[in-house]
Amino acid sequence: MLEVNKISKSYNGQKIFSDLSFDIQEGEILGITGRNGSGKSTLLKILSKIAIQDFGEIIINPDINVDYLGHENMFFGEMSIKENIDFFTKFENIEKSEKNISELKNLLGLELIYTKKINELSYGQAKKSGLYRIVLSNSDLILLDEPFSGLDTQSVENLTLLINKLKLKKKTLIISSNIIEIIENISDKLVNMDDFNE
Amino acid sequence: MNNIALEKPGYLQSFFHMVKKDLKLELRSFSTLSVTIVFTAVVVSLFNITFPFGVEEKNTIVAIIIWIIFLFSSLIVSSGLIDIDMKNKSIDLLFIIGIKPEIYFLSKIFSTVIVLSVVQLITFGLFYVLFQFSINSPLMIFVAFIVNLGISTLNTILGIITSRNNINQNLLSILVLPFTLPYLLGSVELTKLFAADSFLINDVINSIVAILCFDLIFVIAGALLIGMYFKLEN
Repeated sequence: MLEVNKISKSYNGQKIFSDLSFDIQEGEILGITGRNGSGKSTLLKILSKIAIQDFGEIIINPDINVDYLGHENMFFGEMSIKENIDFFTKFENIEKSEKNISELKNLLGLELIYTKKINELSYGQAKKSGLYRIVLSNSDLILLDEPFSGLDTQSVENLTLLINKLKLKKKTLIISSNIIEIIENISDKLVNMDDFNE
Repeated sequence: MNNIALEKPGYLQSFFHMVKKDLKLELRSFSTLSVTIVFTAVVVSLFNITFPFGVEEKNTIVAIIIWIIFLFSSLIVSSGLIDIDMKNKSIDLLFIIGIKPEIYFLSKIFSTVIVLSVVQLITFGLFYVLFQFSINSPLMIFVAFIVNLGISTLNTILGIITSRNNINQNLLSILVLPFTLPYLLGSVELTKLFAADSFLINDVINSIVAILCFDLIFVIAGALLIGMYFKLEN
């Protein structure tokens, strides 16, 4: 589904990572680990096409949809979760089943805050609303940048459950995290960015 | 979690969907509209107090003031509308889900033009009340629209580039001035003629065509530039 061949990236002349290679097949979960500044977020931005690599190539099946959730939830602050979801899913033209919506809202603990503005939410709540959108989207490849950071224990458990459900649905996920215990548990393979910082 | 993916919306649907979002947020908060209207009211009132000029001068000076107000109002409106998308990096999500930068750009121009049209209506109203400045020619509506389109296009191009580069937005007003001079000169001249109410269509047609040509150039060149800019920015 996705093959990354010897990609490198620098910012302002400073090398972030070089000669990074890996591949991922449909339905797999790839965990990205590494110290702060090792290029985990940059790699996900490159895969989502927000950024581009300096060298190397990325071969991706052209028929698949890619979705990305960064550190921010990327929603409009003055709109509620509901309005944001309606707005963004309209572009992807997804017919949402009511059952799925309510099941997901329940799992992510969003029922009571669903009509609240994004600006009024805590970091964790805002993050969960971003996760909610990404699960509703019909993407084949999902890129999650530090999805567990800022979440309470219950939310981390629910998110792990959600990720496993996505895996069962043959979705492919690339997840960056510093929480080694969780990422090792849920991933089929791991890439340690520290190995490519030399 | 089995949602059904339907056919994705076309460019036109995406465009109107974006414009609808901008206008909905603007109508909810009145954030840029209120600032712009206060700015307009203050400038008009100040000129009303400080310029007790005669009839001949009045039309020229009022025409200049009107278009300078529109230029700076457009700056406030376009940068306000762009800022909404820059916060939380919503703009990146728009591109990830497949919005073309060119469609994004055109939708921002259209939203700015609509909000600025409201400002134009209020401004002409204020000038009528405070300066007894009235224009009877319906051609003025058309000129107001095409100049509005031109300055909104320029402000949107520069607004997007400055926000993405974290350049101080105060610089925007300086950057935009040289580009808007052709518009300002043409529109001031036309406003003067319309206010005098004694013009021949041949007197105004060249200026109108010139403004339309500038609009066309800036909209097309702007869309290409913004499309290229987002590709190179990475």
